[in-house]
Amino acid sequence: MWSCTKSRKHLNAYMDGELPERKSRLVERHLAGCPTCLSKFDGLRGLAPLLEKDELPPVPAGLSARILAEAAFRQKHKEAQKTSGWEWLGFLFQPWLVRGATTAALIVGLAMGALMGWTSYPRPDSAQWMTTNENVARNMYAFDVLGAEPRGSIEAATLALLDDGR
Amino acid sequence: MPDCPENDELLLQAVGRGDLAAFSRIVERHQTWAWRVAYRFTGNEDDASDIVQEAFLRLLDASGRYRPTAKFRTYFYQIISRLCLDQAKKKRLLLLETVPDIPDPSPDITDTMMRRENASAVRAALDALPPNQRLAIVLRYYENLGYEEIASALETTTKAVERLLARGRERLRDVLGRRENFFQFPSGGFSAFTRLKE
Ligand SMILES: [Zn+2]
Repeated sequence: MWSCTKSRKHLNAYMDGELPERKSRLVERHLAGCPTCLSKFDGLRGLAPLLEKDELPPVPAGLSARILAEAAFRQKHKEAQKTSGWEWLGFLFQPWLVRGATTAALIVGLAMGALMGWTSYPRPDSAQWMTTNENVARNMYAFDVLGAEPRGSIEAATLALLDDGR
Repeated sequence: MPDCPENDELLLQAVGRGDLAAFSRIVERHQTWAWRVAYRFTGNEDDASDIVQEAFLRLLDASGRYRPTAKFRTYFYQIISRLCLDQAKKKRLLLLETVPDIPDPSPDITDTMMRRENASAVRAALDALPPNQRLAIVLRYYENLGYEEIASALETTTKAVERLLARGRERLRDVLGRRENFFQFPSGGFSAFTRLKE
């Protein structure tokens, strides 16, 4: 004969008809001789009629129409992508590809910067006492942006052409 | 509920080949029970509508990859179950974000309590269950599924299903028992049991 603990452990499966035949008989034998477990079993059985009291509204009108409209839209979109032959464009916008391209561009930029002699640290010849702003200003003037165009340069030729045109 | 398994599997394969008429047939055949599961789980028409719509559209999106190794119903129960549990998770997060730490008796909250009071006790008890217990209860009682079927819908084991049901029932009994004397079995304990056995 099964104990209360053991019988109660199987009470749910027994009620749901999920217990093998042999075990079901053991549960039944226990219930027949144990009012405490039997009242527990009755309580479990009492749930089904209660749960039926939960009301179920009908399927909302228009729900299936909404689903079908969305499905038709998706299908059309898919077909349009296929027939236009531009679906490979979608491939270009894959997140991993975009990220990869960004990284590659960054690496190329850094490499070019290094080749052109740019450094992010102060060079020995830069005046240590200058403030950052002063350094920026000095660098600005170092790029001959305000000076006259050197003779023989493209700029000089362009200006000459413009002068001629006037 | 209409049940014609071979047809459903064939229909879904046709959907996979772009046949929208087949999709429409599937919606027609299964929307009622899909609605039933979603509504019994959420207790809310808007949330249930969202779940049903999303479930069918996921079916559509996945139809191209569908192989009839799994029964249509099992497959669809799985999709709906996943959506139900996701929805519960989202709702919980939203609640955590919007409900202030210190409850203040604003008209809003009083209003909610009033509505709670008016809602059916059973609905309130179902809502009080943790989502996976509630879903197991819904699939067992309203869909009449066996442990094996519930297990595949919830992507778990039959042992786990047995535990979910046991805990869910225990909790339902606690909540409902506190409200009214719901559990007086009409025809009395042992006699009812012996009659059941006949
Ligand atoms: Zn006992």
